[in-house]
Amino acid sequence: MNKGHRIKWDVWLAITICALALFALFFIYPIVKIFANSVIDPETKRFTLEAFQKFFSRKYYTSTVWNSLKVTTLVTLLAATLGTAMAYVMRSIRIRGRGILEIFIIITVLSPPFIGAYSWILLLGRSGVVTEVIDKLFGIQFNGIYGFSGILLVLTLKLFPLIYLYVSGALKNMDNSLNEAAENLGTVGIRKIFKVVIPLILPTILAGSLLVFMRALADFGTPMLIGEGYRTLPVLIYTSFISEMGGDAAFASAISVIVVVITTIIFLSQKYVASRKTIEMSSLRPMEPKPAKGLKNVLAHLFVYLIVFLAALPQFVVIYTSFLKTNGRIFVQGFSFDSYISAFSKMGSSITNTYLYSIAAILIIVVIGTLVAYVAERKRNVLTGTLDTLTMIPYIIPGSVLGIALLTAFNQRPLLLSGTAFIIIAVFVIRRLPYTIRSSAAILHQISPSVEEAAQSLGATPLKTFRKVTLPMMVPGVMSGALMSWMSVISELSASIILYVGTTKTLTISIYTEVIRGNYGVAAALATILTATTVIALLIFFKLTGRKEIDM
Amino acid sequence: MSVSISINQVVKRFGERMIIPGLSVKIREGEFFTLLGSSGCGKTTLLRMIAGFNTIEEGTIHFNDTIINNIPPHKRNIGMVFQNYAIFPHLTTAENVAFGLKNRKMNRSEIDAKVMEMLKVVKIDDLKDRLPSKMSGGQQQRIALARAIVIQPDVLLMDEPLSNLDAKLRLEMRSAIKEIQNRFKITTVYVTHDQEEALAISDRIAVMKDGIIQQIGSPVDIYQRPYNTFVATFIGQSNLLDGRIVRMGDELGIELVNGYRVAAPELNADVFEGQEVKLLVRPNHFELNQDIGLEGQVIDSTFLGMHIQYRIRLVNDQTVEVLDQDMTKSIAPKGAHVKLKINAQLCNVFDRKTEVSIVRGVTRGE
Repeated sequence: MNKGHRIKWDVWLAITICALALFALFFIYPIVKIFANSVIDPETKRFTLEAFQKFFSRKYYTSTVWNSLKVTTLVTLLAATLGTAMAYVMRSIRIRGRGILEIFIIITVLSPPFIGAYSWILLLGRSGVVTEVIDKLFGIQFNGIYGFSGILLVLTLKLFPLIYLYVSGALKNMDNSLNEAAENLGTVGIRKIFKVVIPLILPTILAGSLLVFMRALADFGTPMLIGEGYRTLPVLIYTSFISEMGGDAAFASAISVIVVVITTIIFLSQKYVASRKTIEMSSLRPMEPKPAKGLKNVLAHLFVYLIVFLAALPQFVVIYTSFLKTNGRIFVQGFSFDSYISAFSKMGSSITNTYLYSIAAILIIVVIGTLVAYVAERKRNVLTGTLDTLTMIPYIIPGSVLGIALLTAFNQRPLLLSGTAFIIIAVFVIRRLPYTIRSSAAILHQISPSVEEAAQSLGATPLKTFRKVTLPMMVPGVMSGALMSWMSVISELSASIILYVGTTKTLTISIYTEVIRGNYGVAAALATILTATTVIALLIFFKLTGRKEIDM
Repeated sequence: MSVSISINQVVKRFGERMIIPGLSVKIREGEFFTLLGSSGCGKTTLLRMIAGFNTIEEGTIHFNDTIINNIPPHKRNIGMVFQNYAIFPHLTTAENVAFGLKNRKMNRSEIDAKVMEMLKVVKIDDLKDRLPSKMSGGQQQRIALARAIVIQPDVLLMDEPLSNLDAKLRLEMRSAIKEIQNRFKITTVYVTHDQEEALAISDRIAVMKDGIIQQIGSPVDIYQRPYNTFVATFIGQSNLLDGRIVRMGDELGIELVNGYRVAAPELNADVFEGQEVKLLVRPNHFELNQDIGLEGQVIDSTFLGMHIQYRIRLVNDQTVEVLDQDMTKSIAPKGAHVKLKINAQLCNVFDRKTEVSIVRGVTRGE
């Protein structure tokens, strides 16, 4: 096999250089700028550590680091436990209605997290439905679940499905003979799970946990809505940046740097641990869910249904709320389409914006992602290697940091892009590109290079080979990946909330701002539109791929 | 139109690692030529250099008189068949076969006619509109073969085309390949690690090890007159016995352990008395008896219907494999003391140091 370490002038090199240039301009430059801003005094233009000193000298700021780490770590642990347990139960015991349960789980993953926060406020907030019941029943003054416990509840329920999907996939690749061998050797029940099953799927649990950790740490909407006094890093970044626009941007930059340092450490240590625990599995005979009897069966069903109910509850609350009759901001008796009517009349543009931007972003993501994956996988050299590594960095850059970075980089001539739709699309592209590149590369990996060689030996030029052979073989995988990306792009909040202006509002931003204003009805209507979009996209995805599962 | 392939002193390195340290061979027009060797011997690397998928560091490869070193793969006019079939999964059988013709700017009806004709040759014309994903390995490899031949390549290259097939299909495809090659007379370079396959299918075989050709010759030459002990042990089953050249009357002979002497086949002129040698004895060149020969003791025996296979320990503790085709005798029991007569005229003799054959007329070949 020719690894071709030499660089040859051809169309692929041109593509590589273009991609590198684009990436350098729209990602590396902003991130470098934010790093520079954190240590350069905006007035004297001299090197200074003042921003960091300010951060570390006040407990008010340093406590946010601990707050973030505490809640994120606990969310990750809980989500990992819950997700793994759910996956194992669903894979080993036959659960009635499993298909529909899985669809609920997937919808939960794909909905924006702050919708959960907002629904739980409606249920368990100070004047929530459930809170009032509790207060009446026990005659106490329950203050609702705000702060730490609120964030924990919302994020755990929102993120455990990620682990569930990962682990469920891994369990499918575990040959049942491993289970049988363990049982044959006298290892059964809980002992088998901890001695055989968990070690085998540990790399998967770790990979999923990393994703959960990153999302929980970077999540902005949830702590903003339900966190109240419990300040986390993304909230601090947002508030200090928004309130200090034009003033001391260095401070927001410094916090961003601190967050990126944390995510980098977590990312690298996960990679380190995972690289030492890689296990290749492929199953001829996957685990079959078997019907359980008696108490075990009842408990398994109770567990699964309870968790899925709790996870999906916010969606139902939102849909229910969206149909309530309103009078201004107040809900009144009865049902109506009022919320939808005012949603469409006031927020029509944010709906069209969402579709326009997200589709534009997906087209760009697919084109760049496929090409970059191709050069990185098939034309290995120093340049494509660099490109491959660079395009992975957005993994560890939280949305709010990326938002600030882009805004600082492009808020003056000649690169005045702030306030344009372009910058929103750019942020969508950057945030989702790593996933598309990974999944396209994985698809390419499945395609044997000899298929391309066969085409060339039959007289097809390299470019024609790509067009006629490689691309058609990649399309189904890339398309389903694109649909997946699209669903996550339309629920993006933490970066676009920093970059939007009145005319470039998207659905998630509108929902967020309506919730903040107390316009719960309109917010619910918009959220329902978002959910409906997701469900339709999901159904198309299942139809297209003939699958009943998704890869994130 | 077929071509001859001249490979002159080609060198291949992957980074620091030398894969082929300067190899020369001439493959004749219309010949079925096999590169045989175990994995890592450089046979596939050489094939891919001919195909254009591997660069040539030094030396040249000619098709007839044209140097092809710098011609890109898609302009070399080669047909290639891969181990994993490399069928385009998104195209039907007919579209797969037509792929190369479409690159040659032929008109539609001509393409259709050629495709149909070729599908009939490889006997999959009934599958022409099907997608390959549900087909068997044998059917997929037939598509691959048709696809490679239909473009009337100058050279047909095959990289272990049968090793992903099961035993029965392998035999079937083997004769299909041989038959088609005979019919179209395309210069064919075939790579395999399976010596039986190589013997069965080739006009000539090059046995490779560490990027160096050990011997080139017809299947008969390679099997019956191996150039060195590597080829001798790689092809077929063999026992190598230490011995010493002795004079037996007018002729030279070989003395083996415990003084048993056999008449040698005709040896090179420079062979001298007392020279230390190795005698290659194929299992069927032993004759089991009670009277004369090497002394040994039966370790175990396996009845295989057509013959009996013994493992016998000699007095110097060496274990040899013996095939007894004389089914009229009863099977020698385990532990029995036997004698092994050797039909040395059919055997090969190698110098013990150089491990090169000293039988007259045996060369490395070219």
